Amino acid sequence: MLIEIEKLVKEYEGQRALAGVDLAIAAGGTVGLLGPNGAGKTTLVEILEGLREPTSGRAAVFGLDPRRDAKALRLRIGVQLQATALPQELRISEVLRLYAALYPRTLAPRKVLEQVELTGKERALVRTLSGGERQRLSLALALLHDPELLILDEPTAALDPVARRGVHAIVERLAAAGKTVLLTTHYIEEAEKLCKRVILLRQGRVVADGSPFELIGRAAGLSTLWIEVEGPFDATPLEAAGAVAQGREGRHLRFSVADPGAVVVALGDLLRAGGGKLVDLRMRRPTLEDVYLEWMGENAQDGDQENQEKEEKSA
Amino acid sequence: MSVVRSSLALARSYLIENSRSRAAIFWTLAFPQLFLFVFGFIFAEGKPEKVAYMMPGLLTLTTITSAFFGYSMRLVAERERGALRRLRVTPTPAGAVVAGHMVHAMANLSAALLFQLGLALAIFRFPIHGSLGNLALMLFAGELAFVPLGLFVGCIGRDTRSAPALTNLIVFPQMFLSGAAMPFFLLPAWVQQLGRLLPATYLNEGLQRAMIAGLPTAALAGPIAVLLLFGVIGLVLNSMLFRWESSDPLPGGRLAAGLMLLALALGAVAIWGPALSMAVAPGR
Repeated sequence: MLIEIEKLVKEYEGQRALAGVDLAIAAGGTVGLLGPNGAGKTTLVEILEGLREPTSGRAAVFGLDPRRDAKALRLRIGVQLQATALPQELRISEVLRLYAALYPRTLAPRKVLEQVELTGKERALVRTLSGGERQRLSLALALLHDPELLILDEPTAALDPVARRGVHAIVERLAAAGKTVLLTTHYIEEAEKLCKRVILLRQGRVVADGSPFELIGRAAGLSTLWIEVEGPFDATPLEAAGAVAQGREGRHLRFSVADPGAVVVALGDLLRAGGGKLVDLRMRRPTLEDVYLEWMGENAQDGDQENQEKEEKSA
Repeated sequence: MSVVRSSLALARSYLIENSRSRAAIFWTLAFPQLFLFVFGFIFAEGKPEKVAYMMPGLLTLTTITSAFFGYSMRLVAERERGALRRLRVTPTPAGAVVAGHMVHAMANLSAALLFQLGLALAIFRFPIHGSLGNLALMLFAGELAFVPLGLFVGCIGRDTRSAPALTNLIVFPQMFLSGAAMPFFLLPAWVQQLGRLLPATYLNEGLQRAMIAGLPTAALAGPIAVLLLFGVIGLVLNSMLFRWESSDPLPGGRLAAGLMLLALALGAVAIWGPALSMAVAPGR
C-alpha cells in the first residue's frame, strides 16, 4: 500500500480534528477526500505531508514515517498546499529555478510548464497571474521533481468554473500518466469527475469509502423516472414493481423508484401488452451529491455511531 | 542537493524580490540616510571632524536597525503568510532557510553601509584615520554578529504584530547604551557597565578604533572576538528555535537553554570583554 493509516487521532487543544481514521490507499489513480469544513481533510493530508504530528495512531507513506523520514518522503511526494504563498516579485521562470535548486533532480522547467499549460508565461511576474494561473504554477512546483504521489489540498478552491476545468484536465492527465493523486475537495462534482475512489470524512471520521459508482449504489437515494405515453395507461404494474407516482410534470408522469431496472422491465411488459405507446422516457439516478448529503445529513449520526462501535470493538 | 545550493538559491530570490520592490529599496537604502542627515547637519553641524567622530555610531545604528527591523521582520512575515510552509514541504532543511536569509540580509546590509559611507564622504568629506581594510573588517564583524541576532528575533517572533515589541526591547538598549546614539563617556558609570554587555557597544568601539584612532588590525581583535561570540550565539539560537509556522509552539526547554547560553555569553563578555577606549572623553 502506498498510504497506510491506522487509528489516526489528532487533537488541537482538546478538539478532535481526526477521531480514529483507518485507511489504506494503493498506488495509481486519483483518490478524493471529501467533506465539509472542519471534517479533518486538511489535517489528514498535513499529517501525511509531515507538517503535523498525530496525537496517536500511525501514518505511513511509501512505508516512511512522515515526521521521522520527512526528507526522504519529500523527495517522493509533490504537495500543493491549500493556501499558496508564492514570491510575488519573481517571474515564473525564477520561481521554478528557485524550487529546482531545492531538489537533487528535477524535470526540465519547460516540460513542467507544458504539463500545467503555462508555456509562454515564463517571464510573467507572479503578482500579475490570475487565480487559475497561480494554482497551475503551484501545481508546477509540486510536479517539478517528478514525484510518485501528489497531494493536492483543495486545488480548485476559489477558482472560476473555467479555471477549475483547467486544473481538472491537468489532474486527469497526471492520473492517466500513472501518478497517484490524493486530493481534498469541497466540490462533489469534482470528486465524481476525477476520483476513482472517494473517501467521505465527517467530524474526523471516515463515513463512506468507495468508488463514486459504488457509493451511489450503496446509498438509499431514489431515482426519478419520467414517462410520456400516448393512449390508455395504467401505472399499476409499475407501482407493483416499486414505483411511487409523484404526479404529472407537463405531459410526463413522474415516479420515484428504488429499483429502476425492475420498473423499466415492468414498463416494457406493459407496453408490449398494449398499454399505450411510449413517447419519452427519462431517468435521473442519484448523484454523488445525494450520497454526500445523505451521509453528511440524515445518516451522519448513524455513521458516527457505527464508527464509535467499530472503535469500541477494535479496542 | 546541498544546503549551500539551497540557501544561495533562496538568497538570490530574496535579493531579486527586493530589487523589484520600491518600498524595499527605500527602507533598505534610503531610510538609513535620514540618520546621516540628522546627525551630519544638525548634531555635527556639517563639520568634517565632528562627522568623523559620529560616523562609527551612525554605522552602528544602521547595522542594528537594519538587522533587527528589516531582515528579522521579513522572516516573521514569510512565516505568517505561509511562504516558509511552502518550503517546508520540500526537502530543504531549516538551516538552509536561515542561511538564505542571512546571505540576503548581509548583502543588503553591506549595500546600505557602503551607500551610507559613500554618501557621507561625498557630502561631508570627513577624514578616515585608519585603513579602509580595517573599517571593512569591523563592518563585516558587525554584520556577522547582528544579522544572526536579528534573525533570532525573526525565529521567535510569533507574528508581525507582536515581533516589533520584542525588537524594540532589544534594539533600544543597544542604541542608547552602546554609545551609538550618544557619546559613551557621557553615560553614568553604572549605565556604562550595562552597555559593556551589549554587542553594539563593541561594534561602536571597534569602528572608533578603526576610523578615528586609526589603530592597527591587532587592536580590533577584542571587539571582533566579542562580536563573533554573539554571532555564534545567534546562529545557535536560530538552529534551536527556528519555526516553520506561526502556530508551531516555541519549545520551552530549548528557549530556556538558549537564554541560558545567552546569559553565559553576557557573563563572559562582562568578565573578559576588552577595555573600552570610548569610555574616556576625547582629549583626556
